[in-house]
Amino acid sequence: MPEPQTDIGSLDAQPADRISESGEDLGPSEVQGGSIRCRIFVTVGTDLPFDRLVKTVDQWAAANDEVEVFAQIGETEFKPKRIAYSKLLEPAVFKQKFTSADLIVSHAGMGTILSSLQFRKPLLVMPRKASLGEHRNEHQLATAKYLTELGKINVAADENELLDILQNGRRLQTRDPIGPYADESLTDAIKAFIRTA
Amino acid sequence: MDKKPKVLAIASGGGHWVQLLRLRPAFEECDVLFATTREGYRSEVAPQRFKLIPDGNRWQKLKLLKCALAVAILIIREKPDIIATTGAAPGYFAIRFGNLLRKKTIWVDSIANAGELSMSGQQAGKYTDLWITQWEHLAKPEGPSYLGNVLG
Repeated sequence: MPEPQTDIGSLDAQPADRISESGEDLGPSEVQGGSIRCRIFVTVGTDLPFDRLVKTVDQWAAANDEVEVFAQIGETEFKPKRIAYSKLLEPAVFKQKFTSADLIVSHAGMGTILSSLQFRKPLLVMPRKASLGEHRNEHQLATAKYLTELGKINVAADENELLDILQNGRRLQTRDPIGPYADESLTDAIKAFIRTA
Repeated sequence: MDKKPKVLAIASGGGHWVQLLRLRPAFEECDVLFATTREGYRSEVAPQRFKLIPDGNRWQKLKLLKCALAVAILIIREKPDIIATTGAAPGYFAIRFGNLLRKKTIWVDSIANAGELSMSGQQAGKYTDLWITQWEHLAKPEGPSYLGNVLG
């Protein structure tokens, strides 16, 4: 398969974004015992908390010293024990954490999905379930289903699958990247509408 | 056209905002004012104009009212020719007030709504001049139409 892959099971891979143009190791992740730490950025978006996701990653990280996790967890009572976190990051800080991560783990929110495709970040999503009070309706299940069909995302249906993927280091693909803008057919149609309005 | 059309491009924060920014080529011949719910997004559109509005959703009635009021004032003050939104609540109000004030309105329903149109998108439909879904299977002859999506 031509897509770059991130193997979160073997942590000795050296992603390109760790190296400056001059080839110097920028070293934001410490080299320990010959292996580079894997940096994971977790986000539940800006709207609602998603403790089920954060708790699962927190528990997994507690048993995996080599991973470095930062999470944006939303307005919640839950306080992660092992991972670093913030309730809500300023957009500039969010972007910095997002782009320097090796793997993004998130809810099935479109902001994160679009950003991961644009910035070529491997992404693992676990959809929120309204049936568990995690959202106002079940649209994240639909988002996950249809974007999986388009080959745009990697999905963990629940926390067991999430743990399984994290633990066993199943290879996660960086999907075909996207550009910064929408389909030209869409923006052209809007442009034409504006011109005649 | 002698004068550039004035567009109010409005959305709530997060995914709605990310999608609105992906539509920017559509506004390149316009004088655009961006409006959203997080101050931190200002730098993403600079030097274009930016207004902060309070967020709201249909589960928080007081916040929703404040959001509606802010959007109404914004439209009255700024007098845009066109209102374009990717949702959610601020966009819905912008469509309703815009329609009332005879502005041309564009609703692009979020790509997150893959199973059915969002409730606000559904309700905005009859007040919207260009009513768009990003999923072909949700398009209908009477609208919304499918013209592509923000994935690009």
